[in-house]
Amino acid sequence: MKRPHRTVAEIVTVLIAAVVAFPLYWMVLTALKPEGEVLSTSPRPWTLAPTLDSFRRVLDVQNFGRYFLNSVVVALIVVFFALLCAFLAAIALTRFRFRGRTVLLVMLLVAQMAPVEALTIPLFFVMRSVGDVAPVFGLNHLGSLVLVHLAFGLPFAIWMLRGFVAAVPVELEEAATLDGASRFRFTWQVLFPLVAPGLVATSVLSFIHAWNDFLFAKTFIISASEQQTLPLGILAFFKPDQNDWGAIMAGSTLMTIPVLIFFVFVQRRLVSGLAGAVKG
Amino acid sequence: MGFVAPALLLIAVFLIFPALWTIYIGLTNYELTGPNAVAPQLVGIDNFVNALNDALFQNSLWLTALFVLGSAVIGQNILGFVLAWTLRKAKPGLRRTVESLVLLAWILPSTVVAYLWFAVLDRDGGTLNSLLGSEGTAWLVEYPMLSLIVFNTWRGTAFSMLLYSSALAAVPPSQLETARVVGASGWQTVRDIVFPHIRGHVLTNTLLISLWTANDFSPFLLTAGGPNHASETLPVFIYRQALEGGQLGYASAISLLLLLANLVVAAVYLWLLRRKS
Repeated sequence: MKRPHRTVAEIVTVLIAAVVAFPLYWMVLTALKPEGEVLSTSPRPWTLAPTLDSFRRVLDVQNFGRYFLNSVVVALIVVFFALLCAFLAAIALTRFRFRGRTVLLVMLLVAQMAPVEALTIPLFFVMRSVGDVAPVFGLNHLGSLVLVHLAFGLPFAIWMLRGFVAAVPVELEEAATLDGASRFRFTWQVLFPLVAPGLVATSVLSFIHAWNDFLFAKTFIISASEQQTLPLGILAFFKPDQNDWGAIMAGSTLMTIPVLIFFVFVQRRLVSGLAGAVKG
Repeated sequence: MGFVAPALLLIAVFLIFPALWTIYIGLTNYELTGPNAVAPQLVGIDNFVNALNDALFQNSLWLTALFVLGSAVIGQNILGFVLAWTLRKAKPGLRRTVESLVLLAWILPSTVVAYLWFAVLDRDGGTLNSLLGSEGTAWLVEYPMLSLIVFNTWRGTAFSMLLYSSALAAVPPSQLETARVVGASGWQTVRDIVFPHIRGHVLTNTLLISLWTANDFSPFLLTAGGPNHASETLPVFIYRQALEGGQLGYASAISLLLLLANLVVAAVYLWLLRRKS
């Protein structure tokens, strides 16, 4: 039998969901509205004449496709290397005992508390020096973004994966060794699939981190507009006299789509992954 | 250790080294332009003393505390718990839909989200004003901190919701059943049965979201600290001192103070966590 207050709770939940979803709905709606309706002082929460004009304006802007591609490239490279480095580091930190392990763990935790804005200035100089040695990773190149996103994403990624690796029983490793599996083989054929939910959650966070970044892109990519990423690309539609909200929202919608695809793809695993990470 | 080397190398070069450099800059009068940019001098702890006497810094510190308290400790925490609690028994379809929506608000690019809220809160033609009939209310100017707190609660609740969902799943159903049989109210059940079980989760969650919120830069995208410093949380204050004011030394010193404040908060949480578990 269904009790009345359960129904009330469900209605409240639906209301909260509606409030949460509203700005997202508004984004897509504004992107689809014809220009006149966007500028109207009493905007209606629907449109009778949806149009792709705003999307066309966005895509016509020079380099938008390029910005998009740059963002994708940076994010995917970051995800790949973040997973690889964090996975290996997490194994070392859970499975091996070595001097300075506790210090390392505490350091990883403290590293997450550093205010990013403060580090941009020294990082700017570091990147300039890196550029003298390896131009691809220097200022005005996407490589610089890859490096900083990796460095800033790794502490949390390692911290998260640690719980997953720790959850795999040590007996399993011993059994594998008895059966003659090498450490390498055990790592890739046994451990890797077992911590997959953790890897998925980590990859989502790394991806979003890199995809979202505004500060580093603004600081490191100064004079090479063809190396710009998406968040800065959308800035072009903010104009002193009249912001082009239709285009801003269309650009934002386009920028959201890859995140959405990534998200739908891994959603179930993300939930269990995050839950496991915090328990660990 | 070969396994940790790649990660450590990256973190050392691009995180630890700049962090140490920041501490050093904090001890100098380094500026973006002018004579002090060419030959900065060591000034010892002057920057720190100045900061503690700077009304704008005190203002930022207070606003940051308010922001963390309002949007993380209270907003995200409570909303996250309420969602997890009610969704626990909801139909799977409803549950998945709500979870997805809340998660979406969390994972969307912050620039996109900032543009969105900008449009919603805009004085002329902003959605909120049209809906409430409060035309001409410039939310981000008249209620900047309130807007930021609501914004950050909206944005970050997903993490708490997920965490509490998994924590609630670990509460023994038999105890909840007993509470129901003896006629305990919802609040009594939460306080006496659920809370003792999830205490550790509550503290871990509060710690993480507090730290993230304290370092959050998105207030800059919404209000840029204005009007007249009314929403200038510490990360925004640091950014403006450094890049708009050119006071690199001063800004670095304040970054260190923010890091120290974070450490103190973390230490308090860890102490609470240890105390009874």
